[in-house]
Amino acid sequence: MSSQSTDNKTVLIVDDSTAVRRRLATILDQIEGVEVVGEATDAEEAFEMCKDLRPDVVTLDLVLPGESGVDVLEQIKGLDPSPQVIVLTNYPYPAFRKRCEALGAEFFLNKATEFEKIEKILKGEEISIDPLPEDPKP
Amino acid sequence: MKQQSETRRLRFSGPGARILTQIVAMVLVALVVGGLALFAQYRTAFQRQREHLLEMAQSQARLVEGMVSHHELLGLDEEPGGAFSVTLDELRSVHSQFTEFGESGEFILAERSEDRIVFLLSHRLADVNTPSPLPFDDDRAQPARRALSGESGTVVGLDYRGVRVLAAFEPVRIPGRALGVVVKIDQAEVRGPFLNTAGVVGLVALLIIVLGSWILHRVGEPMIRQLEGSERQFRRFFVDSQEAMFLSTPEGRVLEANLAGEALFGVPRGEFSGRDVREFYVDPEDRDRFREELGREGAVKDFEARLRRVDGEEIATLLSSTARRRQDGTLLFETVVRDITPQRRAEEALGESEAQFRSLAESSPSAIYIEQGGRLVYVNPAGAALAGASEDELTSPDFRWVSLIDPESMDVVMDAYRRHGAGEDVGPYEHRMITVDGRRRDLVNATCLVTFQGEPAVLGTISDITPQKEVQSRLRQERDRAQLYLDTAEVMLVAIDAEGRVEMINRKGCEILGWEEDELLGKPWFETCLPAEAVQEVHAVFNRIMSGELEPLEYYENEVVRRDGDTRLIAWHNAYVRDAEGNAIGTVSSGEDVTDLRESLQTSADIAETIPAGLFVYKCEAPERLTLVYANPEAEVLTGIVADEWLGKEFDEIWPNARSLGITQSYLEVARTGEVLKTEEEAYKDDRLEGVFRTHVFRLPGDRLAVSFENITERKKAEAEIRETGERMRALAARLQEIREDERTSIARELHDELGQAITGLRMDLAMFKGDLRKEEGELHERVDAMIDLADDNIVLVRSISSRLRPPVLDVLGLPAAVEWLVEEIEPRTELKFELDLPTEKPPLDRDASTAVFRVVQEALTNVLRHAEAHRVEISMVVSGGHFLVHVLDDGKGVSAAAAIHPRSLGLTGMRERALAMGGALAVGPEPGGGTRVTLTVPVEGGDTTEE
Repeated sequence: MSSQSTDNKTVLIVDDSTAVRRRLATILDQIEGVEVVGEATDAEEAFEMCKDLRPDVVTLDLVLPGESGVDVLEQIKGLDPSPQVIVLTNYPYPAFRKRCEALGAEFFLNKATEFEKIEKILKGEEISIDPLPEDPKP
Repeated sequence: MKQQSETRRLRFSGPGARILTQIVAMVLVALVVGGLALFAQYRTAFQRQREHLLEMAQSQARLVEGMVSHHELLGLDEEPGGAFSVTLDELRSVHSQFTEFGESGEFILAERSEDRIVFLLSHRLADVNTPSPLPFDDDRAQPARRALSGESGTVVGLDYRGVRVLAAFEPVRIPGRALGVVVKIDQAEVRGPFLNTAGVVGLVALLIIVLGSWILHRVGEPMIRQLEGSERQFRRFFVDSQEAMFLSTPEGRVLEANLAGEALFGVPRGEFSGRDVREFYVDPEDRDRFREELGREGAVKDFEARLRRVDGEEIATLLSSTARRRQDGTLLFETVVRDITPQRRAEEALGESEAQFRSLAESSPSAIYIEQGGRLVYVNPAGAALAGASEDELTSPDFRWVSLIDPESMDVVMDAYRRHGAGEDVGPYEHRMITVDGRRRDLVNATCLVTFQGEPAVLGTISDITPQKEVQSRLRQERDRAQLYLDTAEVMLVAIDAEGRVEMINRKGCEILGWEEDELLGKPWFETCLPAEAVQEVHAVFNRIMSGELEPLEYYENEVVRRDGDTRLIAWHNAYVRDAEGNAIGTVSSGEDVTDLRESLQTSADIAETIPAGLFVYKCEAPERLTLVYANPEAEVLTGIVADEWLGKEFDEIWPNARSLGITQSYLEVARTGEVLKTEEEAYKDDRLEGVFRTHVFRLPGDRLAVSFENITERKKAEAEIRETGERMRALAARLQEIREDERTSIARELHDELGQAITGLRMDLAMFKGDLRKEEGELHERVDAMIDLADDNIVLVRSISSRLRPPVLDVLGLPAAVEWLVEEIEPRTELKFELDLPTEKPPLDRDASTAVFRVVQEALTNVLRHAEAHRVEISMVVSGGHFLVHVLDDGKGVSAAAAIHPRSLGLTGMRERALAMGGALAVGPEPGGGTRVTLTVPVEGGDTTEE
């Protein structure tokens, strides 16, 4: 897909919640130069679509049915380290953050309170905060 | 001998000649050394003089040349005679003021004029104008001639006066003139100082030599005289000595013998020289051995040899010889001959008397020995046999006879020897010896002082009295043993005389009765030790036996009274002491205290009748044969056997199939070994289980075998039921845990997926909605912000509830990360400090096991928070030896051992159940240093490496 529309940044959304996926797609589609090319609801689907679609960016939920987002992250980066991975989770625990950082995730965001930052990241604006910001204790 | 003395005379000639020779030698040496030194010095000085003169000649020539050319430059060559005549005038003027050098040193300027040498300067030593000018080829003035011939150098030759001089010559190069300079000094002046020095030195050296020789003479002459004296003494000693001596060559030629030597061998005066020593040896081989030893050692001492006098008589001798080297380097043997013929004859005589003694001693049955100078010099065969060693061993110089004396007897033996040493007589004494092979023997030793081989010695004769001693000792032992038996006997032993008084009582008797032995002896037995009511009757019976009216009673039981009033039942065995006519004069009785035995027998019987277990007692009649002798009522009930019918019957008859089942054999084994046999046996009747019996088989005294048994059928059933119920309960508990975990997981997921994601979506909508609001809609802004805050709070709440129900970290990152998360959750809410030692990799546990371990750790931490009052908690996980080990250790007040296993400790029970469900184990207990340690062990596959 990315090879077809060379100007647009292609995004794959991975989240098991339909409500969240729908809202994310709406927000991202409104951004100029960004194209949501796929939505995956579990780990297996996410990996397959990543292989087929070769997106530029993957937004990744961690808690998924079956294998976890951490497993997906490991597989994606193992296949090709180039896609930018933005972890978007309701569990912004330090343990998850450290693990995702170690596996090569570029960003780690609190799904509820930091999702707006995705827009800036995709626009290529340097977000002024730390890419893996300090999270509040749950 | 003549040649010898001439040599000596030459060597030690008179003192005058000796000192003269010394002086001549020293003068010669001084002359050579001094002459050489002076000559070398003279040569050096002469050479330096030569160089000095040459330098002078050359500098003077250059000076003259310089002056001439200077005068030419001044234009003085216009003067009459030219510039040279001006120069010459100046030179002459200068020379008239100059006294030349040394005694004979002179400076000469000469010119060749046709065939003559003209001297231009006036001379110091001679008027040169009178004989001169000299012809050019004159022998004199050789230096001037060579200078004028244009040569430069030095020469020793005749000068113009015809005197021998050392001269240096140098031509002066002035155009149109043949000039030369000569600087010379008389050779006599150069030599003079050296000749003077040589004279003085020679004189002083001569003085020193004379003085030195005089001193040497004064000091050395006495020494020389002493040496000469020694030599003379030696001569006198040699000639006058009572010892026979002779000097001989290595080839055996006699050079000289002294008077004693001539006398010993019967050689006429002065005829010894030139004889061959071999002719004196009885055995020529002696001579060869002697010569060989002398050649090897350089000296021989006391070589025993039989020699022959010229009259043919043989003599025993000791030869001592030393080899000496003469002045001319040849060898000379000085030999001293000692005639020991008389000693030998005396020894032979002594030997005969000794032989007689020996022949007596050798055949003596008594041990005989001779001790001399601290060692045994003779032991006869009987003595050697007694000591357990050979005669040679005992008489060896290394053998210490004191080692044969028993240390306890040492004082006795030493005292005897001391008294012998003081010359006292010593009677026979007893002592004990330890033989060489370690046996102890008792001896009677009779010793006396004798003279043996000319020296004082002790002769000892020994009788072995060991057998007698042994008999005595055995008798003593028997007596002691009898007393010991009496005292250690476990029965009371009492002897009573005819009047009924205590004659003897042993220790056990005193113990039973509570009296001391000396208190009882002599007391009336019946009145003192029998109950008052029995005294009369028993005493009467005793009296009747003593008087012969009644037959003695061998066995009798009666009570006795202790000193403290207690009564004891005694079983007596009596023996009667009779006099020569056969009348009883007393009794000796052994009594056994059977009070306790009677009581215990009664007790045993009571127990056997009433216990709720069956009891059979069998008698082992013969090997392999058991006969029923007792069956208690319970045994009759349990087996249906009626005792009266079966008593006396054999085991195999009562239990027909026991032998085929091996039961009989195992019972017999118990009878043989005494080892208790415990079994559980199932009894079948018509192939139907009748019941389960627990049987104990054990041996009783008196070849009896007891078999106790009880029916444990019901108990077994109950135990099985309890076990089954426990297993069911455990399975149920495990299932409940599983269901609970599934429920929690499910609720957690629903909370997260449904509620959490919905609120998240709402939160996103609100955020977007807020972005769409215009600025002036301030009130709406505030309300949306409040809604966002509310949504955030709800998200946090849902996340918290769902995480507690089922932590996502456990599913996503695994057990170690989940424990870390759990600690991060707890730590901020408490004062506890945590130390974690967790593996970085996921441990080899499946999802259920990971969950179970996590829940155990969670429960353990809950207990720490609730009960422990701890400050520090350590959690470690490690895979080791096929097990996954989890430790939770706190430093709190520590769990009590009772609480750790109490069924109501439900938290611990739950943890334990989880561990059991995984096939693992949980240990909870107090830590030695304080605090509690919870250890969970879970088996894992292939987990034998330790992970950190």
